Amino acid sequence: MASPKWFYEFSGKCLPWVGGLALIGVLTGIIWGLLFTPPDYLQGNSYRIIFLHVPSASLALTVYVSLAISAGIGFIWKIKLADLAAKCLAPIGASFCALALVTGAIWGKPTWGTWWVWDARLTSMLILLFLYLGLIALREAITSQDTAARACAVLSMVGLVNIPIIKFSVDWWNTLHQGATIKVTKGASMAPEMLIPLLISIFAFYLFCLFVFLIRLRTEIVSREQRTSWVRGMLGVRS
Amino acid sequence: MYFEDLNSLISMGGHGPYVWGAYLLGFIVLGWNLVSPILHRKKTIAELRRQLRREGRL
Repeated sequence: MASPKWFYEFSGKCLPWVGGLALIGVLTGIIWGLLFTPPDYLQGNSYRIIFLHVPSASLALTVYVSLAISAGIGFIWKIKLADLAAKCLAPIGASFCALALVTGAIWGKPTWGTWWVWDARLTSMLILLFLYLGLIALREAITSQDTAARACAVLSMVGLVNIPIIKFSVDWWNTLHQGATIKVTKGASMAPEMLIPLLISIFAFYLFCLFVFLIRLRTEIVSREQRTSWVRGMLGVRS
Repeated sequence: MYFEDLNSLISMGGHGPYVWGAYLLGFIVLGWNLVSPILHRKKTIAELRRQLRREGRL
């Protein structure tokens, strides 16, 4: 099942569905959030940034955990596909981490009166961005693919320690950042007319990430398997 | 729709520049995430084809 050829063919069949659903979902979540939800009674209209900020921040964390797990699997069991997955996840996670930080700063200005504070949530999230950038730079810096994969796997697994710090920073320390809006154990502290578009937006952003991740991974597979007969056949080599 | 007219949608009670600015950046990030892997894929495949052509296999 983990054969690159099987994965390439299977993911090719899923791509249009994942992409189509992601597009519909992102448009629905954002248009609903921007145009059809009531304003927040404390924050007014600035809270509408939530439909962008929360999905990005959630993705930044989830993508990092997936990256570290993939890299770990590649490191321990020497599975090529897992390392390629980790490589493809880094730029996606970095971009959403940056988006979460920037939209958070933009939201902070009208709400807290400042673009940035060095509180636990914001600082640990900035460290996550540096971890992502470090992983990308490390891979670029090492020519040997196997050595690069091992170095990135170690760095990404060490960096995992930052994830619970980000997650629980709002509970452990007094932060300017508000607590979690949606908790698995307690449900959501949010009115349904705001919660539903937020959940749609989160789900759609995850689908979008899956979509662009699959495109990246498929390219990596073609590149790494270029000597095999199935890739050559696909490129039109006469046998 | 929550907003009464286009002006109130654009101004968002004074929060317009923040909200629209954030969404503009969001659009750029989503766009980059979509376009960059597609371009990379095209470039990779074109490069492999060129290489195969040089080797006389295509």
